[in-house]
Amino acid sequence: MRWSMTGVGTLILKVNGSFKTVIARPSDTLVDVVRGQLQLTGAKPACETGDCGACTLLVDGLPVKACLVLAVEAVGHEITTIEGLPLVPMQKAFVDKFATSCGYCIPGFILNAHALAVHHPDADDAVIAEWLDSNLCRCMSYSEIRDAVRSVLAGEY
Amino acid sequence: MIACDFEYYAPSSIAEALGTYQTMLGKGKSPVYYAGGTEIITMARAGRLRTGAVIDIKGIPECGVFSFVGGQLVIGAAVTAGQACEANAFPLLSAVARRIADHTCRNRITIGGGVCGSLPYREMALPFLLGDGIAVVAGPGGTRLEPLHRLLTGGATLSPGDLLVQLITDESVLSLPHYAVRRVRNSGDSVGYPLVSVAAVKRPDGVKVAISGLCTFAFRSDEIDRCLADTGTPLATRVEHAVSLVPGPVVTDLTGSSVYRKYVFKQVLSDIMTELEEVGA
Ligand SMILES: Cc1cc2nc3c(=O)[nH]c(=O)nc-3n(C[C@H](O)[C@H](O)[C@H](O)COP(=O)(O)OP(=O)(O)OC[C@H]3O[C@@H](n4cnc5c(N)ncnc54)[C@H](O)[C@@H]3O)c2cc1C
Ligand code: FES
Ligand code: FES
Repeated sequence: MRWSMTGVGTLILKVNGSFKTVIARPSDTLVDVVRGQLQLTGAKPACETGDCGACTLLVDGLPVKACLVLAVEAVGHEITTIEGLPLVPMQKAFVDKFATSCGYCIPGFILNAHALAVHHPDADDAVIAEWLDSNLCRCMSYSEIRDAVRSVLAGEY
Repeated sequence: MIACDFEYYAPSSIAEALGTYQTMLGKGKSPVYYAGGTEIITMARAGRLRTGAVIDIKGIPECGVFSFVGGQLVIGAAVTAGQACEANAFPLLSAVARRIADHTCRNRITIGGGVCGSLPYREMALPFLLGDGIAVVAGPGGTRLEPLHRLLTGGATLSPGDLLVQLITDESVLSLPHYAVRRVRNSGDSVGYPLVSVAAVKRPDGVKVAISGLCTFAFRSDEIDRCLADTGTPLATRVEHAVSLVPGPVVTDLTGSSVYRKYVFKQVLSDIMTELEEVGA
């Protein structure tokens, strides 16, 4: 057995580059643990069914919906929250392009878009649309968000 | 938050996974194999799944395989839809998987979860049904090979405790001309559960289709394939007849009535046949 967890216990998670100890149940989701125990509240638990992307975090550099990941599964992986993202071009572009309205969805969008820029720096509009389809924005900032992403990929930052 | 408590086990071998399943079963814990977890977490949160133990199969080496062996593509059940799309070794699988859920969810949804999940759509199964995919299944009685077609529609279902380990596809299938169309309720081809999702390949003896969304199960039908291959009959007549051969009641739900689904299915079939019959003609 690689390992097991049979009840409430201690987990050591690597979050934003440092090891953090949390107490969790095996059935606790990553978004709840990161917010509730580490006070990293950028990721939002909104739909909690994988539909909206407000809870997006990076695990080993890839975006995941943290409402659909158990905290116990994240042991041994690198977790990045919006609080741990060093000032990257994507953040500046979101500001410059007025991509933020209420801001609720923005941490998820930025983490997703940052991962896109890292993994597919040459992404065309179809790939950008495919990645951004994972996040919803109730304020309808979609075109501004797309402009911000395009501008980063075009090397404007 | 998931209200119920369960135990978490991460076995490192098939034998350990099967053993843990039986042990947990013996303790009355209604265990489930856990892959991407997207369906299990969603259903557990909604109170529609109660389990006392999840057995995470992602650390089992055989379940993470993605390689060519002796002219066959072997894909482990824990390979994610995202990994399969990036690798793009099976273009039809990429085309279908790329439309399941959304890009971020596909970083978690696995091939095995997509085939074994309890939701009726199981779009992930369509490319394997068309490719005469063989399922490697490990169970209490040992490891066996089953045509996926029989597992999904032919009565040889997975038994409790059976673990889908891999899906095997012959290399010759990978280069067949193919086409995949899915229609959702509101937004053309975008995110959402499908009203109708159809994948197709063109083989020397005609176009073959596999279908999701229409009935409460994903399926492939020899009768429909034979009907569509009868090129002496006008396309509109073949399509009309194909609809009458659907092997179960057509679903009516909030996304669409059965009448509307049949209408959409006819359009989709016409598009596919028009596209693929021209290939190599
Ligand atoms: C936001 C969202 C959108 C979705 N959209 C679509 C869609 O458009 N089309 C579609 O077809 N589906 C869609 N799905 C459904 C999704 O494909 C299924 O829920 C699938 O089961 C998820 O795979 P998983 O790896 O996360 O499965 P898990 O949640 O890990 O498991 C699902 C079920 O399969 C069983 N299982 C998993 N792996 C194995 C195995 N190797 N052997 C035996 N049993 C196994 C588990 O025990 C469980 O019962 C969507 C899901 C979500 C969350
Ligand atoms: S809260 Fe996770 S996707 Fe909406
Ligand atoms: S900026 Fe308000 S939800 Fe997106």
